[in-house]
Amino acid sequence: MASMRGVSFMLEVQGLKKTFTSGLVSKRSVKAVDGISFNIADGETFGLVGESGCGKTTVGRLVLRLIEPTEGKVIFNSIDVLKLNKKALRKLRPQMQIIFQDPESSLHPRMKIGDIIAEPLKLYNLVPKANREKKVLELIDMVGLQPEHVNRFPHELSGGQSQRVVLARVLALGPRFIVADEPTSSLDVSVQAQILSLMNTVQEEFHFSCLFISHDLNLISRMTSSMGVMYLGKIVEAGSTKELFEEARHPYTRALMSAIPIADPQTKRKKIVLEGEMPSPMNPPSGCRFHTRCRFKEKICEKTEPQLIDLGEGHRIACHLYAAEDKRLVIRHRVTVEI
Amino acid sequence: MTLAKSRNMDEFLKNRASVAGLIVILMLITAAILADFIAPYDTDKIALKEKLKSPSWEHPMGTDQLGRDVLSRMIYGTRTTFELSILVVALTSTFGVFIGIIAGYFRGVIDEILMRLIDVLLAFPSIILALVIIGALGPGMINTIVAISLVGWLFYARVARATTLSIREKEYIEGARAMGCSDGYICLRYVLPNCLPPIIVLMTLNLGSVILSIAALGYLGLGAQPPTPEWGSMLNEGREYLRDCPWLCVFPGLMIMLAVLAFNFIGDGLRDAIDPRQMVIK
Repeated sequence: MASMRGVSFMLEVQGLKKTFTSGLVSKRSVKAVDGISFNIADGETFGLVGESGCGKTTVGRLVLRLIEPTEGKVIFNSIDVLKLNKKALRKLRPQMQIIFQDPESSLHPRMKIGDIIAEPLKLYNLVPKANREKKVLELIDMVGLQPEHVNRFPHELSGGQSQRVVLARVLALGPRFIVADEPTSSLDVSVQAQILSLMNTVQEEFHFSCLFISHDLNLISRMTSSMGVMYLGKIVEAGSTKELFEEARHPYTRALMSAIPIADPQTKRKKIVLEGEMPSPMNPPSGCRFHTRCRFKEKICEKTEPQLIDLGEGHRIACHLYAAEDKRLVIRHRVTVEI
Repeated sequence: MTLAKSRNMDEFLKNRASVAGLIVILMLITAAILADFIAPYDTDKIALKEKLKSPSWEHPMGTDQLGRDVLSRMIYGTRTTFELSILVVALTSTFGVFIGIIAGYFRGVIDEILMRLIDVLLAFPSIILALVIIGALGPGMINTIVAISLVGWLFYARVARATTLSIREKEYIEGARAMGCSDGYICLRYVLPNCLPPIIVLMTLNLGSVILSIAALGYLGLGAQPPTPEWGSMLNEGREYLRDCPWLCVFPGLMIMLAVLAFNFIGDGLRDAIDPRQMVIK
């Protein structure tokens, strides 16, 4: 794919699957992630959005091999990550980092902030011993903390400050790719904004690619240039963030988009409220996984699983409504949409 | 940490029983260390003329059947007991925590095998198992340590495993793995320091019961051998004279009770002070 479009990708994910099994005798399995593909260009931020339980967090872990994928391919900077042995993987790890949702449990509770940030420098001997302190102070300053924070312990910091420490520690390694797994969802809105603009600043400075996982569409629209929408372990629609926000096609994406609040009481807009709960991934619906909640359900949706098709310019969608051979459905859908 | 530590310290000092326990233990440890200077008589000096004297100014705790000063023997007995029990607790806690962290961190087959082994060992009553081991190896101090340690580590392994299980799900462990830290490094630098608080509580509580086990084996004549002064064996020696010379048994008995009680009070206080929600799980 990389050569096809003439763009070099920092990360290519193809057909990634993860099945969790439990039980010794009667094995039960959950397909948490069921065949996901996406690419992230160098320096780009790709957003992954979906309800809780759709498997987006698992994707983040799988890409870094913090959980072993069952199937699929992850190619990072032309290295096939899943084929590496343990030693080679550990060598690669500093280049691929992760920021977690809960900053307070992301920091070793018995280490001082200075030591936490210095640890990666020490482990990989990135900076000679004499300059370490200086480097730590540099990083601390860069993420907007004060030098006196060096001697504090994690529990003395606020959530936002902790997340800054996490960022400083990750940046110390000079990664090429960062998974940001809902990095601001446990923070206040005002702090959220600070952390996000900090992330934008350091991304420009350090030039890394990012997989931004969130359930918050506002964040996705602000942080990413392209995105994928996940439902029950699959990507149902993907494309450039701009296009998806302006012209979402998949009924699920449309429902998500319609739920974004608009800060203007005069704007009248019809909200699409999805009925029911997301089905259990232990026993996913046949055919299209979304058909149990879809307003445009047809017979074919219950039986055949829709494949991801390209609508042009990288806008991919998995929905029978857009299957080229069935024009009737497309027309019907358009009519419904216009009402 | 400084903040949490001082808060824990305040919490501990508020508990009067624990503070009393701490004072008693500190006094006993001082006595054990300074035994050579504070013991009024030589423990082994036999003076048959002076035998079975009741407590007096010369012999505050009386003399035994061989005319040896009971107070001096009590002081040296403290040394024996503390040496043995601290050694046992150091051995068992180190080994148990090591096993527990390995089982809890790696899970899977290793965990399953280790835990079933522990279940089997726990099924034996510990004192009977100790008797069997001493029966096979012969009585003596070293064998006492072996016999008690063989069962003692099980509890540490259990607690360390349980704590490790909760720690390994923390995001800082995953972050360390993402950073490329080896499993050994993570266990040593990340898991061990964070699973210590409950282990420290367990160690204090365990010291009391180890002292009791040592005294029990000594009383049965299987622990420290005469003429080594030891509380349990002193009880045993005084048993025959219980009716006429009760001081031979009363003082060692009181001492055992005092030491065990003191450790239990400290343990209770520590357990309350080191709030697990605050210190372990975080």
